[in-house]
Amino acid sequence: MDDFEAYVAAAWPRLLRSAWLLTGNWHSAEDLLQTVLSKVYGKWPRLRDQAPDAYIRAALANTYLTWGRRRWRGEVPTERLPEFLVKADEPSEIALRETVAAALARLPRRQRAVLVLRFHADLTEAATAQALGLSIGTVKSYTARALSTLRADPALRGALVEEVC
Amino acid sequence: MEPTDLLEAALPPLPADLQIAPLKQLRGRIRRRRRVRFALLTAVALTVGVGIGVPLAGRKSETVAWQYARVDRSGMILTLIAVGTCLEATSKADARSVVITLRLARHQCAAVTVRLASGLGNRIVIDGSDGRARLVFRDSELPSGGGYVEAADAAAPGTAAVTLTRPGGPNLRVTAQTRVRGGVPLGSIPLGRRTGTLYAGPELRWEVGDLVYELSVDRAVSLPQFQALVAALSWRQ
Repeated sequence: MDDFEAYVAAAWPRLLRSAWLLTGNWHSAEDLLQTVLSKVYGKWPRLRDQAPDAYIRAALANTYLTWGRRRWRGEVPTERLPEFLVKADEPSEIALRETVAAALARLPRRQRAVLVLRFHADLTEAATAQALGLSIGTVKSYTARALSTLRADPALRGALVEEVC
Repeated sequence: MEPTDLLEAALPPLPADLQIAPLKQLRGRIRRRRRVRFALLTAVALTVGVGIGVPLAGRKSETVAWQYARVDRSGMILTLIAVGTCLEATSKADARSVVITLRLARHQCAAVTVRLASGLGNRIVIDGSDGRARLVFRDSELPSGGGYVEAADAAAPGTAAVTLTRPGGPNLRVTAQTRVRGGVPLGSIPLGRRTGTLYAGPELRWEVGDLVYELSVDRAVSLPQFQALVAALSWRQ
């Protein structure tokens, strides 16, 4: 357990950020990450010499999608709570962050999961397809649709370059 | 802006109270997950007949024979290990014994546990389906520490078994049985309030009432390595 805990202690912040990109709030992100890490623990002896980050990010996306299929989704806040600011960010940074976060939140869960694996976890289309149990064509389609939706968002228009995916 | 940068831009700063990994909570989740897996795997393994063929009692009463009981460290909760996954328990107890009868249930599934009104103590536990006393494995005899957690195990008839595992191993197996096995004692080792006897293998045995508990490892280790492993564990019977 020692080397697993050492890995978790070191990787926790970056994995938690990945979980946030999926869930959109820190509490669900923490719950999602803990759920995945408790599952991964049993596979740790096989995983530790490979690329644990990529595996765990794929597991985060899969578990996030599984949660979406459940009828009961745990506690669902009725009001959006403000995120705690660690440092005094520039107003423009805050505005951009909230705009992007809101646009991401409007994406369908699968498209969001594909975006996170492709552009945050840096997985290839083939690896993303394998991780989510989709065909490569579906991954391409979801990516294109998600980016198209983001580009069409009036608040983000012009922010995204066209030649992607 | 590339999609990668856009995702980074969406990320708020990590709150101060989330910057440190909650390892204690995570350990708790892992333990709970292991327990649930153990219960489910045991039920499945027994159902498909990996271990034993304890026959179901007559169709008339729909009672089910169970193999052995485990009593938790508090002595208050009995877990019945039995064939079949959909069971319900009825129990009656007096100063000498606790009688537990399992029946096939239409609606209740998974592991069968019985909470006692008072600690089991030295009372025997009887299977109500045939009126015979069954083996009781006491969790208080299990060592703790060393990063070990419980894993699924399937015991042979007349034996109770628990496997403890940790990353990197070695896995430990603790069995309890009434049958006394042979072997030449190699020495003794203190185990909390008890004294264990070392045998070639290496194996460690200690007696509690009519039962002989035995600890072994799943890979070849030297006797000094085995002794060091045992000494590193916590024994609080």
